[in-house]
Amino acid sequence: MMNLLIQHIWGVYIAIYLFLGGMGGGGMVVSYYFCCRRNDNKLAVISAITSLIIVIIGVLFLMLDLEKPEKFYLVFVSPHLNPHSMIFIGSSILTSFITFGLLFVTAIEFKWPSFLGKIISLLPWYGNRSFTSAMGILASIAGFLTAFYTGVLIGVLKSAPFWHTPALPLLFVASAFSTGVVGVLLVNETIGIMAPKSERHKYQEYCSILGEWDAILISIELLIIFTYIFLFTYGPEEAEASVYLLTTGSLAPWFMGGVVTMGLAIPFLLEYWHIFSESRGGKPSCALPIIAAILVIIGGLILRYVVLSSGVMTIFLPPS
Amino acid sequence: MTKYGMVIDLGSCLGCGACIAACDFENQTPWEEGKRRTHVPEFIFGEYPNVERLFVPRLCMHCEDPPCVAVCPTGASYKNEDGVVLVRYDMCIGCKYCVVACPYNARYVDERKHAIDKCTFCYNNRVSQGREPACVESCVGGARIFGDLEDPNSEVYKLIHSGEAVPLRADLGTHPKVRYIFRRKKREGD
Amino acid sequence: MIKMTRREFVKLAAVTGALTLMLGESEHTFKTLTAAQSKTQVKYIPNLCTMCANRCGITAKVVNGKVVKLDGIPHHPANNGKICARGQSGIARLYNPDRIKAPMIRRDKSKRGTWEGFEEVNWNTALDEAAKKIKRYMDEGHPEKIAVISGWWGCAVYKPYVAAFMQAIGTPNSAGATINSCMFPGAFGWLATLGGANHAHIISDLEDAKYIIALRRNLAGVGGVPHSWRFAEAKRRGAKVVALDPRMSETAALADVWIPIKPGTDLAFLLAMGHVLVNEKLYDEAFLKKYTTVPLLLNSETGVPVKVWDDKATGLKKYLVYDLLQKKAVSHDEALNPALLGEYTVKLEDGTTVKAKPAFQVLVDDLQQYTPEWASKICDVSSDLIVKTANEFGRTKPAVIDPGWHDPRYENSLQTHRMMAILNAMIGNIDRYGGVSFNVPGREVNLPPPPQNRYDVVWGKKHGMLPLPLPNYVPLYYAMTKGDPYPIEMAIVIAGNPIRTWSGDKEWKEAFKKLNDVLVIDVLPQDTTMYADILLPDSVYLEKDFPISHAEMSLYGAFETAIAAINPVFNTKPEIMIFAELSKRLGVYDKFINSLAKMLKVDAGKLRRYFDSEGIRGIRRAQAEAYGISLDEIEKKGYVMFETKEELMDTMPYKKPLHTPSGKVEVYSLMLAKITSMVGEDPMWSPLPKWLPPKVMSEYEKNKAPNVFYFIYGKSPLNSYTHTTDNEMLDSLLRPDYIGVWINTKRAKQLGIKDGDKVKVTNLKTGEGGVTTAFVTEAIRKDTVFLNTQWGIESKKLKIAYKRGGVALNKLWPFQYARLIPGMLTNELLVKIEKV
Repeated sequence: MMNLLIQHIWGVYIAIYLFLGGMGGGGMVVSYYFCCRRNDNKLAVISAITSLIIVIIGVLFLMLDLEKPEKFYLVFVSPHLNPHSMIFIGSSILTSFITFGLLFVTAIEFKWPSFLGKIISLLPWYGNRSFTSAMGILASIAGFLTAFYTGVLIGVLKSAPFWHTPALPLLFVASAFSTGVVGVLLVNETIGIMAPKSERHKYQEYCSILGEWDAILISIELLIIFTYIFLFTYGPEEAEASVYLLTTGSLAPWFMGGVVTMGLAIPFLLEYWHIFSESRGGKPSCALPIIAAILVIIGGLILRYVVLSSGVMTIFLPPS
Repeated sequence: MTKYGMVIDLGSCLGCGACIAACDFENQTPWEEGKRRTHVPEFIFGEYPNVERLFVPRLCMHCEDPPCVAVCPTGASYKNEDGVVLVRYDMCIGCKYCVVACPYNARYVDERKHAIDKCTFCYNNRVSQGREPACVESCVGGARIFGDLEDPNSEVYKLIHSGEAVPLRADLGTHPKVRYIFRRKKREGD
Repeated sequence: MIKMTRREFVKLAAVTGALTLMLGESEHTFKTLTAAQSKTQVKYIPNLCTMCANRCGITAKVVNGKVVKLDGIPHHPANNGKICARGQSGIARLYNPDRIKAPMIRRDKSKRGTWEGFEEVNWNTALDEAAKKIKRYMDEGHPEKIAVISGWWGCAVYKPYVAAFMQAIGTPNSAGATINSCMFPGAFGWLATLGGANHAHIISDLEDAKYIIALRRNLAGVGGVPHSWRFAEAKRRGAKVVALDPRMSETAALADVWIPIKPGTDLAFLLAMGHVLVNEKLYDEAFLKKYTTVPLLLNSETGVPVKVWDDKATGLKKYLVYDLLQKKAVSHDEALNPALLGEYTVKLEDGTTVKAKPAFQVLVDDLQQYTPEWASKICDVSSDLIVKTANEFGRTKPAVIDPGWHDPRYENSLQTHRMMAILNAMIGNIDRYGGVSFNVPGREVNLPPPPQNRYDVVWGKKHGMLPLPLPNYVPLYYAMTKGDPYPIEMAIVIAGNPIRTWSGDKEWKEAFKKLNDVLVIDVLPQDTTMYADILLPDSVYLEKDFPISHAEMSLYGAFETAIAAINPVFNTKPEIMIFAELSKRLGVYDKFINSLAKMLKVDAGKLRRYFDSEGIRGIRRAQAEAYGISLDEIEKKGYVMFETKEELMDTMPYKKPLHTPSGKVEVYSLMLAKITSMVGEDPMWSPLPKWLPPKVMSEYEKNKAPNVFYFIYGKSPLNSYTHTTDNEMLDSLLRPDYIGVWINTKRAKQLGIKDGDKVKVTNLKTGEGGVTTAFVTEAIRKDTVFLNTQWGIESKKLKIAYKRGGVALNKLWPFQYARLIPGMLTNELLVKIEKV
C-alpha cells in the first residue's frame, strides 16, 4: 500500500561531485607521498595537478547542480551565514584544498614548460623544500578532509537512515583513496610510457606499489561494504529497504554488478594476480593494474550514485 | 512570544484533498509539476474484514530543531520569531541540501523562483492578518487545528498538553510543531 | 449562528472590503505584484459554488481581474466557511482552455457524435438559428416535440428559469436524471413516509446526533461539504458511526464500525433491526401513537385499511384507529390513547363488524420472520452485530439513519429507504435535534401534479408507470426513437450530459442521432455536446450573476445569491440571458417574464423593468424587494439568514402536518396503499415494508465464477460528474484508488491480477464495458468490485479527461429499469473482470 520515497533530488551531478572530490583528495595524499617520501617530483606534480583539476571539475558539477550558481558566493558572504552547515564547511575545505594544493604544486622543484616555468620560478616559495613539505602536508590533510567530507555531507543527515552511519564516511574515504591511488597509477603509467627506457623500471615499481595499496584499500572497502550492508539488514526498516534496493532490487545490477563485482572484486583479483606473479619472480607488465584502475574508477563513480539513489527517506507509518 | 503550531486530528480527516487544492491556489505552488506543500497520503492496513483506512495529511512540521535550517549554508532557511520555518528566497542558492535533509519530505525546488520552497503556515499572506492558513480554513472535516502553542487557552495547546496530539516520528528529535491525534478505532469486540 | 468551537481564534472581518491588499499575497505573487503595486486591485466577491449540487457559499478573490483563490464564506449556513477540493478547483474550470469559447453551428446531422463540421459563428447568428429551429415546432403547433434536458442544474436552482423558458415555448417536456439515475426510487421511500425527498427536503441533523448509521452513501467522502463537515463535527462531539458499505469508503474508514454488507441487502439488515426494536420495545410508543399512521386499523383478513377518508377542512386523510380509552374505533384525531397492538372488533357505520389490527401489530407480526439470524445469512453480517447495532440505535439518544441521496440501485431501493425512514420514526427522531429533519424547501414541499400531456405521463398510462411529479427519461428514449407515445424531435440540452451519465450508452447515442435538431448549452465540450447542431457556450458561475435562491443544504433558513466575479473569459453568455434572448426572438418574451415572475413570486412588471435594465441582477433586485430582504446585504455577504435552526426544529409533524396524505409520519403508507389498490400487491410497493431480494443476488449465485463480481460504484471526493470533469487541478490530485477498479486482494490473486494491472471490466450480460487499472486492496468484499464514476470520456476535446480513459459507468449500466418508478437498477448487474 505504501510507496517508498527514495531520495531523488540529488542525482548524477552530485554523485560526480562526491566522486571527483574523493578521488582528487585521495590523489593529493598520494602525490604528497611521491614528492616528499619518494622525491619523485615529476610524478608528484603531475598527480597533484591532476588531483586539483579533478576536484575543480567536481566543484563545477556541484555548482551546475545549484539553482542559482551565480549566487554561489553567498555560501561565504551571506548576511545570515551558517557556519555549521556542511556545505559551508565543505566549501571551506575545498577552498583550502585548492589553495594548499596550488601552493604545494608551485613549490615543488619541477621543470615546468617554458612560459609557466618562468612565472612559477618567480614565486618566492618555489623550490623551498620545507615549504613544499609543509604545504604538501596541509594539502594532504585538506585532501583527506575533502574525501572524508563527501561522506559526512550525507552521513550527517537523518532523513535517510541508510546514510546515517559512520560506515558511510569510512567507505567514501576508502573509496576516495582507492580511486586516488589508481588515478595516480594511471598518471604514473602515462609518464612511464613517455619516459626514457632507463627510467621505466621505476614506474614499473610504482605501479606495483600503487597496485598493492589499492588491493589493500579494496579489501578494506569490501569489508566496510559487507559490514554496512549486513548490519542494515537488521533495520531500521528504511535502511533495510535501501539494502534491498541495492542487493536485490532495482539498483542491484548497478551495485552488485557495477560496484561490488566490476569495481571491487575484479580489480582486486587483477591486482592480486599482479602481486602474486611478481612474488613468483615474474616481471609482469602493468597491464592488469591498469585495467583494474579503470574498473575501480568506474566503480567508484557508480558507488556514489547508488548510495545517493538508495537513500530511502524516513517512512511514516502511523502506529497501528 | 507566539509559537505557531498545528494539530491534525486523523479521526476527522476525510481524505478529501481540500487542503491540498486550497494551498496550491493560495500559495501558487508549482502543482502542475506535482510539487506541493501539503499531501494527504492514504494508508490501508490489515486483512479483510479487519481493515483500517487512514488519511495522514502531511506538511512541513515546522520543527523546533529544524534539520533544514541546520544544513542551510546561507541562512536562507530560518525559523522566524513565531517559530515558523521559512525560506528567504533571495538568499537561497538552491543547493537542495535542505530538501535532502528534511526527514518529512516537506520541501521542493520551485523552478520559477530558482529557490527551495515549502509550507509557510501561510504566515505572510494570512496568519499575520489574523486568518487561518488556507488548508485549515478549507478543511472540510475540521481536522486541521491551528494556533499558538504558547497560549494555554488555545485548542492546540490543550490538545498537545493533554498528550493527545503527538509528533510524527518523535524519535528523529526535531520537535515538530505539527502534531497528530491518532485515535484508535473502536472495533467490534474491543 | 452556527457554533464554531474550533475556530475561535480567527475573527474574520467582513468578507468584502477587508482589503489587506498586498500582505494578502503569497510570497510568489508578492514579487510579481509589487512591481505594479499601485495598480493592483484586490476584490472579494461572494458567489455560489456549482462544482456540485450542494451550492456552498464562496468568496472569489479577484486580483487584477483574475480569480486567484476561492474561500468558503465564513458561517455560511450550508458550508460553514469550508470548501472542498472540487470547490477550490472552480478556478481550473473557469480558466480551462478546453472550454467552448464561442457559439458553434453544424449543418450536417450525420456528423453527430464527432467534432467534425462545426463552424464558429457570432451570437446573433447562433441565436437566430436556434430560434428558427424552435419556431418551426411552435408554428406547427407541436412545441411538445421539443424536450428540454438538463443535469442537476435544471432540477435544482435553475429550475424556475428552465421551466419559464419551457412554458414560454409551450412544451411540457423536460427530462433529467432525477427519477432514473439520481435520487429516485430511493427518494420515493422518504416521500411516502415523511412527505419529502431525501437531500432535497430531508436532511439529517448530523452534528447533534450521538449515533449515526450511514448506508448507500459515502457521507464523509463525497457527501458534499454541507454534509461532510457536519459528519466530522458529530464525530468530534463523540458520535458513534456505523457504516454499511461493501467497500471501505471514506465514511467507513472514519466510522467506528464498518459493516461490509453484501451488496443490495441493506433492507434485510434494516428489517432485522426493526425486528429487534419491536421485540425489545425500543420504540418511542408515544411518538408512534400520536404522530404516525401505525394506529391505523387494517382489516385482519384483507390487510387493507378499514376506513380512510378525506378531511375537507385540512385536505388531509383521516383514518380509523382503536381508542383504548373509549374502547371503540374512532377517527385518528379523536382518539385519546390509540392502540398499537392487539386485534379488535370494529363496528362499521353500515352495522357490520370486522376484525382489525392496528398497522403496528401487522408490522410487528411481519417483522417476526425477519430475525437477525435470517438477515445474517442474507447480508453476510453476524447476527450479534445486527442485534448490537439495533440496540445501540434504540438506546442511544439521539440516533439517526442518514437519509442518503443517490439510490436508483436495486429493485428494493424504494423499500430500503422506506425502512430507513421507518426506523428513524420508530425512535421518534423526526425533526428533532440529532435526528431526521427538514430544510426550508422541505417544510413547504410543493410538488404540483405533472402536466397530463408530458411524454412520460402519457407513456406511463400505456405501460403501467406511475405519473411522477418529475419526468423520467425511460419513455423519452421511446419517444425519441419510436415516437411512443408521441414523437420528440428536438432536444435542448442545458448543462446535462445524458450520453455519458444516463443508463444505456448505445441507446442514447442512437436516440440523439435520430433527432431532427439538437441544441446544447454547456461550458465544456462534453460527450453529449458532440451531438449538437447548435452549440451555445455557457458562462462559468464565477463569470455570471445568479438571482436569489434558498440555501437548500442547510437546516437554517437563508437566502443566497452569487455575484459575477469577473467578466466572461471567453465569448460566452449566462443561460438565463440565452433563454431571454431566445424568448425575444420567438416572440414569447412576455410569457417568459410572466411565468418566471409567477414562479419566483415577484411582481412581473418590476421583474421586466429591472431585468431589462440590469440583466440578472435585476431579477435579484425584484426578488429582494418581494422577499423583503436588503439587496445591499445579500450582495455583500452572499447570503441572508431569516430563520435559525432553533426556530425551525421541532415543528413537523408536531406543530405543522407533514406533506404526506395524512400529515403524519406514514409508517403505514397511504400513498403506497393506494398504489397497491390500483395495481395490485407487490413487495416493491407494499404499504408496510417487506423483504425483496435484489435480483442480482440470485444471478450471482447462478453465475458464480472466479472472475464474476457484484458491481458497486460511487464518487471520489474529487468528482461530481459533469461539472468536475476535465479539471487540471482535480486531475492532478487523483490517486490510484480513485482511478482504478477496486478488487479484493485474494480474488485478484486468483485471477493473476496485480495492483496497477490493466483489466477489462464488462457487464456479464451485455458484454459492454472497458479497460481500466486494478486497485487491489483488502478494503472491499471478496465478491464485489467498485468503480468511480467519472471515467470513459469520449470527447477528445476534453484533453485532460480523455487522456485518463477508463470505464464509463453507463456502458456497464444496461437500459433496464424498475417497475412503477423506473430507477435504472444501476447495481443490479454483474461484471466480469479480465486481465488484459
